[in-house]
Amino acid sequence: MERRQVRRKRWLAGAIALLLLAALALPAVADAVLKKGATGEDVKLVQKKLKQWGYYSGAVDGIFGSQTEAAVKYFQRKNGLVADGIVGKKTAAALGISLSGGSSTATANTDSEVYLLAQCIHGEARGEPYKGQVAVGAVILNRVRSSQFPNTIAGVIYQKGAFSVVADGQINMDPGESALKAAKDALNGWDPTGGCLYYYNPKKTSNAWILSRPIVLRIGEHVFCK
Amino acid sequence: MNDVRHKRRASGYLCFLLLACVAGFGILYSEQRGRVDALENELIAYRRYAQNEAESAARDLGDALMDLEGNLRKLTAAASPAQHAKLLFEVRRLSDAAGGSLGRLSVSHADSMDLKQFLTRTGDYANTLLDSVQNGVLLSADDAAQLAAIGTQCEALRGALTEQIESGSLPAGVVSTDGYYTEGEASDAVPAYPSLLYDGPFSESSETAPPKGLPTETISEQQAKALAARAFPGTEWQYDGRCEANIVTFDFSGPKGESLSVTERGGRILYWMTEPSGGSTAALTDRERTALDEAARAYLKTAGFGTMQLSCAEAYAGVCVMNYAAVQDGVVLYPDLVKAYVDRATQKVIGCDARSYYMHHTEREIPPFAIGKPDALDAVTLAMQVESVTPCILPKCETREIACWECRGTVGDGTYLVYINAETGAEEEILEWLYSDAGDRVR
Repeated sequence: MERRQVRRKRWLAGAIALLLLAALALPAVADAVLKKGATGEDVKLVQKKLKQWGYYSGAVDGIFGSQTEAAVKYFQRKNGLVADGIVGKKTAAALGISLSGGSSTATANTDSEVYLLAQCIHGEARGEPYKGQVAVGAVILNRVRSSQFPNTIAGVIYQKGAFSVVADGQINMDPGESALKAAKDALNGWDPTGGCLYYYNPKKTSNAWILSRPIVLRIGEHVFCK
Repeated sequence: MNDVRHKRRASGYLCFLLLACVAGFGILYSEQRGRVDALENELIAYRRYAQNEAESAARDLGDALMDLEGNLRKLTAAASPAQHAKLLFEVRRLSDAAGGSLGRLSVSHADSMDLKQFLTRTGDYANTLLDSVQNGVLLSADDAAQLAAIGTQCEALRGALTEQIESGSLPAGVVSTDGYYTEGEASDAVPAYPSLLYDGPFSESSETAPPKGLPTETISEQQAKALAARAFPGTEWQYDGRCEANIVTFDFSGPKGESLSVTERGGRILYWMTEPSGGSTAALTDRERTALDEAARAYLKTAGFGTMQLSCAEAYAGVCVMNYAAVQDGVVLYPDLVKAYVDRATQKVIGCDARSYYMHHTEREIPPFAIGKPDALDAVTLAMQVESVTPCILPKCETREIACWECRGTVGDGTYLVYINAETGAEEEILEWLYSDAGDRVR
């Protein structure tokens, strides 16, 4: 009788432990992860970052193979992370990137400037009306043309303190079709802002300087100004 | 007796467990400490790197300002066009170099933009003077005075920068987005830079030029809404607000993502866009291009744009953007551009952007072409197989246009547009025509 009770207790304890493990594992399943066998733009991004920082010497081909896995483990060991070779939320954050969580769309036939512009638009204005996305792209291009800013798209986007998505790594997300089209439209000259150099979300800023700029128009949550 | 034995054994296990835990924690702590130390070392290395980069950028900027000042001073003492050209070229180069060094400093874009503008305009001004000098025009007394004023400003800037480097007050850390907009009064944050009076792409007059292609009488919001309803019957336009740009507009949006802007001056449709039906991502063929061109021309005629010439077309996301320039008396007016967006699946115009057209379009007095077509042909390189020669007006900046002969031809496997100044015969501009499956464009 006692033995049966002990066995039942053990079985119960085992079941609870399994349930707990399953509960702990659930968020990991829900979060986007990259591991050996994965392919796509996110993998390319991880490889590029690892290569830039000297952890990886292979090709940036978007294929998560043994060499990439070894490089991820090396990076994880050096950065106090669990060296499992899997790029999850923590490893991605340490790499300064955000994983898109889905299969990445093909980026063939998009040159790097269009893609970079689209990445910034996606980071800054996803969820905004399409016109608002084009407007963010137009502001970046207006800066490129302005005498007050660098004269390249990359120069403007990576200018210090200019865009929060650069600081928090969202710039590295896959931009998706809408932002890519918005980037193309902006590059083709569509400027819904009529030459604006700044924009902000009035709900998220209290900065006196930006609030003092003359407002030109409002699109969605963004106010555009000169 | 048994109980005592059990208790002793249990105590033994407990002690062992405790010791194992302590040892485990010790190992874990040691490992974590090692990682923290490694990260701290890495952080220190990054900080040192940032400090060195900032200091190197500041010193490069200081050197460029010092050399700028020197060359500007020499310009006031130079007399020959050759020496003027040499020194102006150096001023332009050093302005670019100073701008590059400024971009490497750890200051936010908001804090550096006035100095960046000063440097860009200095280079632009030098470039404009260089153009004149190369065409045989000597520097005027006004230009000499402006150059001297810029030199003085450069000297003051270099002094301020040196002081910052020596006092250790030069920022070298991460610029956070929380503080990227300068606080306090702008006048306290940046010195006043001299305004430069000249015509160049970055001159003040270019950046604030008013639209030429719109009448002066204005319409109201209600009139704009009525105009939108007449132009696009069946669309329920919602008023989004006024756009207070160079061209003031009343903006509207439709229920299916449509956008429309009506100008306050004259009530013209500045741009309108609707969603494409999706569709083709195939290569743009000549046949399709011709069909899309016909559709776009028919729309432009109905919209009252007069004679227009197709320059280039590019397709993406199911749409083809066709670029047209106005034509007056056979002369192509490149500043007066209209973009027509044509749906590739339906071959219908789904948008139009006439900002550039209304910004520049006016009945021009076309200057006489002192250089004839044969002379223009003589001016292009012998290596070019010329296919066509067309008279045109080319924008040099918002406020300046020049008459040119556009010579289109091939050199090797490249196609180029060479613009010969119709007054002086000089090669004004060279553009390369790029072909791809998506269409064509120039660079």
